[in-house]
Amino acid sequence: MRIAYYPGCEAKMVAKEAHKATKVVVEKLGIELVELENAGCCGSMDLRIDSMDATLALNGRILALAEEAKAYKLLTVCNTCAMNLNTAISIYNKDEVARAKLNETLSVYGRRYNGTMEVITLPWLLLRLVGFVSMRKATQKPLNHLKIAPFYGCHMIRPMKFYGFENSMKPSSIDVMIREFFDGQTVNYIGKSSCCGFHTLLTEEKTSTSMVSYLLRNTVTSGADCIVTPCTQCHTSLDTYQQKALKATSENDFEVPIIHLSQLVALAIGIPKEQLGFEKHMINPLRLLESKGF
Amino acid sequence: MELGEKVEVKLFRFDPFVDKEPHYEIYEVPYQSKMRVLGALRYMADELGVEFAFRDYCGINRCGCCGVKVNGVPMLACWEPIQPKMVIEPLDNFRHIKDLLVDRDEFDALIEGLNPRLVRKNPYSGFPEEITHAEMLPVFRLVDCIECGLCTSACPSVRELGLKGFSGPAAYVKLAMRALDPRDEGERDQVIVDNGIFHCISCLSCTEVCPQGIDVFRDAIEPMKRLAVSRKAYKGYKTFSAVREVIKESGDVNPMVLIKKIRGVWAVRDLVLAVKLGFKGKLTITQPANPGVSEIRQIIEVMEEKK
Repeated sequence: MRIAYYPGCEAKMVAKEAHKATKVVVEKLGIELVELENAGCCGSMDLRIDSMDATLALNGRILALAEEAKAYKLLTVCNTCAMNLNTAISIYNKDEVARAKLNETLSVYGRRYNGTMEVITLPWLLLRLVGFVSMRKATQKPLNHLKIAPFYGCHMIRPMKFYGFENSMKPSSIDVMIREFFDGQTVNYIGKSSCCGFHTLLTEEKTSTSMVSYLLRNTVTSGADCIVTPCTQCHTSLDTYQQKALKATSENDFEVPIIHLSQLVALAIGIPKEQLGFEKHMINPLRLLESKGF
Repeated sequence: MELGEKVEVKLFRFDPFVDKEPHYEIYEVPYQSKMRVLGALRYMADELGVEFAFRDYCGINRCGCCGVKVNGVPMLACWEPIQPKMVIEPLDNFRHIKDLLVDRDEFDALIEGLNPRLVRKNPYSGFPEEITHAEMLPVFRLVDCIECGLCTSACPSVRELGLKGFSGPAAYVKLAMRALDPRDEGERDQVIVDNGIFHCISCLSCTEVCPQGIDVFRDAIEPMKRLAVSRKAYKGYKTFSAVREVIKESGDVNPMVLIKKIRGVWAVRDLVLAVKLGFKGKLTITQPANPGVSEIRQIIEVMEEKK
């Protein structure tokens, strides 16, 4: 299976450890990964406000690049990238007139989009494409000592019409994955389908940090050791801004390590933790992991 | 489910005159054909004789007053099918009066305060006015809003800021219904910003819970943000064009470069965090340009020209 890989700016610039871990995991599972190196930014939620046309064209270009790489599906580790690409797909895969207009713009650079690409996220890849049997076989280190609070992030599950993968207000894919593939424990907490507040960090920081502390508070009261998230932007918001957020609500007596889903899967399938860049996290999860026998 | 099968309902009970804390009571309701959540509530009230407070009126997804939270998800009781095990609670983000009743006064006053009516200053031809489908397209779906308040109850920004700081998606739909109308001549730019629309974190919960299927985020909130940014009514309007400039310069967005561009000298405010991040190897001051940068720049420029 040949999968195109679009990391997104966040993984390239900030959450470099997720970028690395994803590549290691997917390659260990025997999937050929082609990184789209000249893909560029998807526009996030900000370029959408500035110019929706430009956002759609940039995402159309990324889809064309994935097709060019002769990939079966396009994998991304950022939820917002997934949503923006899916917004482009919802238009270009169905509407031939819009696709012709896109191809007119892209033809200057000798590119063309035929409307066949689909975007997947890491949970989707592991659950649907790799599947239960292969994942069970690959699992070397069960995660049964860790109490994990899975945090999905908004744009991987909403809007539901783009994904149709799971219930958008009560997501469960990562819970199922951790329990069934890796024999781990997950905890239920309030605000599982809530937001990390990433998209207002630059404009209204207080709103964002209050979201962060709400989530951290709820996961801690539900007894979780750590939060696992598939999204690099959620990681930045929850990890990098954690101390600032807890200071703002004057709750600085606890801290919650945030682990990338790719790192967790890597641990479970037997990749040594030294390769996974845990020391790059603001809240270092190594102490927790060592106490749990990793 | 089969006819007569028992449905377990865990009902939220709270009477401010008697109880100090809310509690839950469990009832069993036999499943009936085509049963909705409201059917279970009515059965409990009529057949089981449970005395509890809930609102219902039309029963057909039109009046918007039977909103409740079922298993943690806000929905209209009259419209959603029954689930084998249900926890029924009042809506979040509203003051709870009694049992499933919520106080809608503040919510209704807020919407009324936005003046969701067409404001016409110049004389017009009278009714019926000639107007095309294309002109009405931006507001076409928004007029379906039934003011049930489900989106506001699902919104995390309302949860954190309250209705005073952030008017909530329902109010924005009502405002967008007029602000985006081509016939409207009201001064709405400042109203949009003052109602805190830029505190919206784009989580799309509002879109998901809307019983009328309105894409609240894409049809109401995003166009209004666009309006406020393009007319520079919002103080942080530079952020959005800065992202475009950074993408044009290097293809990717380096947060360091972006913050420097937006805040200028005031980027010093984040210096402590930036140094910490730099120490961890999370931030780099210079970034190698993306190999596809010239192509990306040209695409954005082409799209700008078209605009």
